Amino acid sequence: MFYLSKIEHKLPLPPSRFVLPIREAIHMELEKLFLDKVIANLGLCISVYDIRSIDGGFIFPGDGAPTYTVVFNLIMFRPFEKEIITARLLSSDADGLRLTIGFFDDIYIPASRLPDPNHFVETEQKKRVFSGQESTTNSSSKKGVWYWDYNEQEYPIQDTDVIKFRVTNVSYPQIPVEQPKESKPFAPMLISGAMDDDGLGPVSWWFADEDEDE
Amino acid sequence: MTFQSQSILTSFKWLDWAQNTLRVKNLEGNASALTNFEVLDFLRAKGASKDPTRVIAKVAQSEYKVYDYLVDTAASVQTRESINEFLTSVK
Repeated sequence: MFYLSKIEHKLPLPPSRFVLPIREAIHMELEKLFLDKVIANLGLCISVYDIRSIDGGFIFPGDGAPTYTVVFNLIMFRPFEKEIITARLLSSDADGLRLTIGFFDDIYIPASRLPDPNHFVETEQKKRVFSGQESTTNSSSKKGVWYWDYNEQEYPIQDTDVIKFRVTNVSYPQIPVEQPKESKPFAPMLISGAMDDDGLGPVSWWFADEDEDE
Repeated sequence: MTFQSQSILTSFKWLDWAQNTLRVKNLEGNASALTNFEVLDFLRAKGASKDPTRVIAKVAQSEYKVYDYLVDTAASVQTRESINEFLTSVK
């Protein structure tokens, strides 16, 4: 789930940082620049792990800040394919689930990768939509609850549950130059997951199962 | 359609543009893999567990979110001793 990534960067150090020791000043500037940001193909930056080397400190003509060449390690969040992660439900609609792990919210489980057989119950109209059927109204905006149908019982996927899912894909979409006003905010890193296997889904399902066996 | 690239660069978590503008040079993407325990240990060493107010310690809010997630995992009850003990027992 976490990796160290070694990066080299030319960093201009603003004069306001000169009062601090050079290493501390650069560390603070790196944190300001990279923390909680996504670097394409590397993942989400969690923290600056350490600084390996600091070179330079030249002041270029017309520039009021010295520029240092810094080699440092970042702690990156980048789950690998087939990794099992625990998360919580953020939202649920006819297209599938959106999960969160607190520091990262762009985790999507498409309806096709939910435990089968399943059905979706809309919150507003309480209208059932089975996985094989297409609903007549616009599906993307409808909120509701997904249920796994097993042994003539319905197992809901609710927002109180801790959910286990398997990572199927991590993608880094290109920045859109233009976006429609009503489109959802751009996500620089997307994790796609699956819950269509034994032991996956809300943890409560499987604990309940163990209790019954005993 | 509206032009939003400026707001995207400033408000969203994205550093792909940094490859050019900020001259980020990726020397080694997978320098090392870290376990949940190691990341939690690193955040604890920074002072994430010591400051209940979450304003005194030099830990960013985003780092606290990671800390909160890891505290709820098995990593929170592990120690270096217990891990070493496990490694020797499975040899």
